[in-house]
Amino acid sequence: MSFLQSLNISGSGLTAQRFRMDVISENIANIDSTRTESGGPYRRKMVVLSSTGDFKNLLVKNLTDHEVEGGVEVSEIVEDQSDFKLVYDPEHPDADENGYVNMPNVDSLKETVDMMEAYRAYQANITALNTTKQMAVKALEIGR
Amino acid sequence: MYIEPIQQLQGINELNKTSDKTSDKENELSFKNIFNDALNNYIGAEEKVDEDIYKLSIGESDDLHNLMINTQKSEMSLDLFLQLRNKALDAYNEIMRLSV
Repeated sequence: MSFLQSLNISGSGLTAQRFRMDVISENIANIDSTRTESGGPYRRKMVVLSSTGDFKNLLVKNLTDHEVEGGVEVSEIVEDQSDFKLVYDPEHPDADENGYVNMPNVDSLKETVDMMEAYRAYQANITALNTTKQMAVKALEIGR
Repeated sequence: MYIEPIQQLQGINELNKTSDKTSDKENELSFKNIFNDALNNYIGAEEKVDEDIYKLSIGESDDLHNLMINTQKSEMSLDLFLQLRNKALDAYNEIMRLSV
């Protein structure tokens, strides 16, 4: 099945970008959340992606099995440690004695840009996948 | 008293292995095996697609893109299988057309 293995690389990219989109959606949904389970306002979450398998393992595998396996995976989700936004709103139940509320450090502009980037990366992976497929289809046309 | 058992000579073992390997290789390269591999590829891919469609329809997974990738894979392995079949039939017809 090795001639179809290369499709899995693009597949892992699609999965990673969709996961990233999930995290961005969560950030946008919690843009006004002042209470969380851990206490305090919501902190913006970010996805850290890493490539699967180090170079040495890939080389050894390639020499023995003639099979290249690679791709990307989500290694962790980190929280943005930047300061919360201070908003003056004395009526808010979570306001301090001076009337200020700590709002989540989510910036809707930043999230929108991240969202566009995830979407474009998803598209790029689909294009790569289709090209890989077209190459295999063309190979089957040899000698026709 | 501990007596060490007689060990088989390592060199002879290695020789046996290599001779096995060459016969394996000959088997691997026969057309029948290639044909069977292509057919099994297709059957495996098709089974995967069926499983994915079932899981998606009962709401167990939302992995749309992997379903599409698996569909493409089964389509392409069917193409490969058909090409192999066509080549085999062409070769057969060519032989039948030989004048005796």
